[in-house]
Amino acid sequence: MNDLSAGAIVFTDIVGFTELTELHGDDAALRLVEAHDRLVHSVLGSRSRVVKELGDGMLLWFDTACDAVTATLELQRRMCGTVVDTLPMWVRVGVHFGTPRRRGDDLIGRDVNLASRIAAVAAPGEVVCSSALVQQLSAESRNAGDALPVSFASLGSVFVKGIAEPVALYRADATPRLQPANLQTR
Amino acid sequence: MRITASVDATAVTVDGEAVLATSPGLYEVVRSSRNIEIVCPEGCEISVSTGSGSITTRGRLGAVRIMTVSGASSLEHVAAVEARSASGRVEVGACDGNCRVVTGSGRVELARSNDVEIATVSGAVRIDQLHAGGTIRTVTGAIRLSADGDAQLSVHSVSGKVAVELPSDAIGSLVLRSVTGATTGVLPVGDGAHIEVSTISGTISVRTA
Repeated sequence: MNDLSAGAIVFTDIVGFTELTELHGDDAALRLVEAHDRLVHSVLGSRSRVVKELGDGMLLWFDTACDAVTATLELQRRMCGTVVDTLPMWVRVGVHFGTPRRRGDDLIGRDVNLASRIAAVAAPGEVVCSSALVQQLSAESRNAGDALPVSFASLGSVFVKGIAEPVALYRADATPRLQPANLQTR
Repeated sequence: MRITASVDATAVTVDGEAVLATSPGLYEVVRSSRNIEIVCPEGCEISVSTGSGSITTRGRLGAVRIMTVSGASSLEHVAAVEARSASGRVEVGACDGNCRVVTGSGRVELARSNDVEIATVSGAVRIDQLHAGGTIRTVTGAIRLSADGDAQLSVHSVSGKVAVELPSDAIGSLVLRSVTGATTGVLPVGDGAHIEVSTISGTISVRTA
């Protein structure tokens, strides 16, 4: 990846990790994180990588929007029903498409911050995407002559700390269907 | 921010700026300011986003989408709602269809809803009248609800206390699981409600009125 390569930035986050650790101890928390990491690695392909382990989640990179969305939806499918030492594996995922700066193996910049904020909006089991990601996925599908591999439901716009304009968000669904109705914005 | 649905209204007004609504349609309002009043036709669909600003709707709206960071939401009557807030409280008077709410620490209070999909981290959930059922998940938030006699309900909590009340004549099936929390549940067996509750350490109580 070049310093200005565009790609998909993904944050995963184990929901309630602080509370779970407090309630069930460090050993249980460690096993939960290890199970999370194994599942994340199981959906990564050659055009993706773990950028950083965050303790209760991960920062991931995907070369394409399509890879990011299909992999994270598959990740959520695998997470669903996973229980570690009686603790549920509730994970939220945020996906954004942008051009972060590279610092060694790490990624930094506005787009990384935004992807992190998007993950915080997701419910357990959800993959929430920015409009930039949706637009990129549409372009990739159009260029490949394929239909969109997933569908998106509009969630409205979210105000993100440090970012002037609100960001439109969408929930990804593994089942392709009609796109959301056009909005009349005021 | 206040949104008012009017049977006769044909315009959407934002900060005094009158905008003609040519059709019932779906309108998106994105403002961090609290000083917004929206008057729209009954049944209008609204998508509202704020930072810390609170949102109040009056009258009967169509499908409503709410997104706040810390602002509280109070919706009088909606056809359906999807609401998300990190720490803001979400209150719904009546929801005729699906009520989907996601919060971190924000409380969720529904007076009446048909079916629900609710997820919180620490926010408590209270539902006074739940018809069809749905799914509720929380890490530490307490859950208290009253459901119809034929409700199909799935509740999952890590440590939050769960209390479900059913009508006195309810019959059905109960599946209650808690690793360390106490469970109490009484429901005559029959073809009716299906209530499934699981916790790790939270207590579970399912009873008829």
